[in-house]
Amino acid sequence: MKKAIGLGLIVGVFFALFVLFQNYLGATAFYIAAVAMAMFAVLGPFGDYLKAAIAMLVGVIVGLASMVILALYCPLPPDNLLYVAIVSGIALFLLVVLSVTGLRIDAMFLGWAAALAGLYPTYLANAASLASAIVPAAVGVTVSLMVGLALSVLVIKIAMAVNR
Amino acid sequence: MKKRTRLYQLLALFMALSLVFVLPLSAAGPQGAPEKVIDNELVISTLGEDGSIVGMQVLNQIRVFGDGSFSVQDTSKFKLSSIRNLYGSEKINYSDGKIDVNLSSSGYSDLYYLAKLDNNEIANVEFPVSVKVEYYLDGKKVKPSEMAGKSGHIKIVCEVENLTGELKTLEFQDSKGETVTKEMMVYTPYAVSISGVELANDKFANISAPGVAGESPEGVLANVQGVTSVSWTVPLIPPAYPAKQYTVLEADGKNIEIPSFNIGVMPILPTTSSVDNLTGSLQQLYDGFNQIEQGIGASNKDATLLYGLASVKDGLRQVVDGIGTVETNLKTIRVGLANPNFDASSYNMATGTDAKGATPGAKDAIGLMKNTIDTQLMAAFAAQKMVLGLMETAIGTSADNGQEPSLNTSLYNDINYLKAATAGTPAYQVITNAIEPKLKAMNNNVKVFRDGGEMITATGTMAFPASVTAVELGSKTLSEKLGQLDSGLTMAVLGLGALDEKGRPVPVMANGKPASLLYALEYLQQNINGKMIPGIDQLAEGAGKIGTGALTAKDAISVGLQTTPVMMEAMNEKLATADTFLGKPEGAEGTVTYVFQTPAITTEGQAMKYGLGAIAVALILLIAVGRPPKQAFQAPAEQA
Repeated sequence: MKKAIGLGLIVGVFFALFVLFQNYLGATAFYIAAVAMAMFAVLGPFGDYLKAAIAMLVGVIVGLASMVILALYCPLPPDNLLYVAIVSGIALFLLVVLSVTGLRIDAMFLGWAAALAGLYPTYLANAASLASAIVPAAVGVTVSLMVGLALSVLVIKIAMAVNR
Repeated sequence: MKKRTRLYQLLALFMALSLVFVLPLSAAGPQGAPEKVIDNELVISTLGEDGSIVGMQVLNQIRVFGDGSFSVQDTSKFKLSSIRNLYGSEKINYSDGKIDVNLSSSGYSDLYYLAKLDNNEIANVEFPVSVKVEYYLDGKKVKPSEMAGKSGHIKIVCEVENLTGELKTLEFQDSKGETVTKEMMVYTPYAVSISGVELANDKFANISAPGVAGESPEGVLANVQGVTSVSWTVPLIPPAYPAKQYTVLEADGKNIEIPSFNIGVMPILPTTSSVDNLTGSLQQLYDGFNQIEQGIGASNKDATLLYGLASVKDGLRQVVDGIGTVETNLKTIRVGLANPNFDASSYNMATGTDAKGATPGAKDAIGLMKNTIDTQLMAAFAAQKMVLGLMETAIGTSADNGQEPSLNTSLYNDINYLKAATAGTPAYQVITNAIEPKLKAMNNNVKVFRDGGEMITATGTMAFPASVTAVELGSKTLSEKLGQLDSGLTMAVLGLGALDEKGRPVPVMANGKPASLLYALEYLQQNINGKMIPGIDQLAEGAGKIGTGALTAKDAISVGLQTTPVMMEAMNEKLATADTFLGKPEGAEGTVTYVFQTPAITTEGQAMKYGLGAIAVALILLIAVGRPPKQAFQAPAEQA
């Protein structure tokens, strides 16, 4: 129990530090890290967290590509839901296809969703500013995912320590 | 199972066909021309680090009115690198500077397209308003990115200038109702709106946006939710406002970050709600100057200042002439009273002049006369009285007797001697009856001649007032009166004043004032000629200048009053032509607005570096402890 409390404190402190320094790291959506942390429940104690991270990165890349296509080659909001639907459908189709390569589909979906969470509000509000916002947003989302995943490793280690 | 599979196949086919036909179904062939077309352009220029334009895009809204499908032909006078339909699916065809698009409209329809100018074309663009933004940190000019994350006193100067001025010949009517042509610089009216300058309160203090009258407008600061927004409105509308102005933003910053802000430039001749006191004031000013000009008038215009001054000057000249005449006459009187050139000591009675031929004045003559009386007549009288006394002594008295006649005995003694010697003789009778009475009469008359009394004559006696004593007394009185007259004339001469050898009044001042009449007249003439008339001339000259100035001011105000509506009309004409940048469909109504976007001053780049570092650390951590343990995969083998 003492070990659990100790490791729990470490995770809490790490997450709090991440929240505190999110601006310095360019991570504008720190809560995405918490979603990534939840992956410990999916991956389990013997899961391949590195492969999940790579899948997340692939998801982020596909998400960014989706946004770029929507912003540059499709009509802009508000009357463009059809194109959003098409692009999103194709993106998810692509992720499913990519899953045959061994990448985790759940991690890719999470990466794709995180990318859209970071950029879609900007796309809706001011599509023109996406040009300058897309790279920082991509970095910010990736930081949140990677830090969250790293913390999820710590969480699973705590869980294993407690269960032991 | 087969039925379900077929159902899925049909559903997928429907979705696919929907996607394929959704766009073509929405398109239709063009029909005729729209009722009206509006072309609104927003020219977005992105400013680089050095203030130059690094990219240009035009956001164009085309609105067509009417029902049906229309083909719209727009133009672009600049080469475009790309063009895209922003909010619709209509295909835009661009080639050779022509932009074609088919629009379906029900009432009205909008097309928004974004055209990006080829970067090589940017140099060819001539903006109606130039924009120059300069950044200073602690007084030193820096690039915007060099301010990011720094601390210090910042100053951002934005200089804008209306470049559309051109000389135009304007026609208007002057104050006299005559048509006047004047060349004036006419500008297309532009207003610059600088907005979105947002300074976070936790990073900036002492924020100010000062203005300078006639040069720079003051900014408006709004502090909302921890952010101070600064904005300016700069009307570049000569002649009411300068064609070139600037704005200044100053603040003390730490860890400086300033988002990009927009400088909007739009052609507009704004109608404000301000009460127009200026025109009324100018009219009053015009009336005032008119009254001044009319009051000053001219020297030949009755009831004006210049006319009055000319009259005063003429009057003064007449006064001077009159004074001159009075002076001349007074000089004549003065010389008549006492000739300053007359020398009494060399006076010659025979010629009536002195040695130099100068004739005496009245006072001189009186002096001569008095002197003659005092020195000659009075002596003559004394001598006469002495002679008469001697005669009286020589005659003696009837009592003189008994002395042997001689040279020293009196006539009476001698007569008495003869009477005694001739007593009883006829001679005695002659002596007693003829000689003695005559001697007695003679004796009496000598006394009377000397002292006055009854003169004995052959017929009796008669009063004799002209005795020597009486004449002497009269002469004394005359001398005294002449003396008094001389004193009076002396006073008159002194009052008139002395004259020099040239006959001019000798300047004599007493207590700062002329001390003689002649000099006073001379002084008066000198002052009138030397000061008053030149003073009036200067007054007239000054009044003339005031009149000319008033006339100039009046004409200028009149021109201002008359040209304002003409200028407004000319500006409106220019404004009507400032309706497009790229070009517009034929017959379309257009508007154009320019926006210059400044570079953002942000530390985001640094944050990205740290973010990438964090990603790398996380990946390393995942590589280290995020791989599955090998024994976990060996367990099934053991179980097997």
